[in-house]
Amino acid sequence: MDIVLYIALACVFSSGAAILYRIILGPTDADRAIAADMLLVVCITLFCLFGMYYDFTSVLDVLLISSGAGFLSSLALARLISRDEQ
Amino acid sequence: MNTFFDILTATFAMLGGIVFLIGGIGLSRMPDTYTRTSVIATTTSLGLALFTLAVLFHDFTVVNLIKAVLAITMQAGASAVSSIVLNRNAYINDVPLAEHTQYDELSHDRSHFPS
Repeated sequence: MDIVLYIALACVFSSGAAILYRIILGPTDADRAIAADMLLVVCITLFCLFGMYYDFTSVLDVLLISSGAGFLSSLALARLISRDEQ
Repeated sequence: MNTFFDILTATFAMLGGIVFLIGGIGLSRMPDTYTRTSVIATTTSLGLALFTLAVLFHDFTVVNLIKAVLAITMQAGASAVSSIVLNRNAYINDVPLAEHTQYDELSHDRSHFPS
């Protein structure tokens, strides 16, 4: 069980590295915005993995709240793309 | 019974990890913003749903089942809508399409369509 969690952790970390690569290189602000959108999901996933490893009991509550907060953050990032309109 | 749930947890965690790995590769290799958004929408809804199922089977109760169903539904809807909004704002702000894009149906220039 622990080995599977370690492998999943490695996969999620490599996904995070790809996100950081995209945030640094761009080339447009839209690319950075969508990469930041995925970065939030990767952070939630890391919380899930550590929650399973350390037997947290409130992981699903955090998931439920962060789903709603993630939607709001996506809308804010979409607004960020068109920031020079007004 | 615990072993069965452990196997389910390990399977879903592994599948979720693979989905995130493929999503990361796609994010770094796709040619333009719109295809990257497609990759991200799939990864965030499917990958997070798989990890939610893994967390659910790690500590399976009826209350957790309801929470997991709610979380998966909200996340799937939120990632779909947010990807549409992000793509729409990107298109409005003239983010370039990939070089080999053949049809741009939102463009006002209709000359490339057969008459």
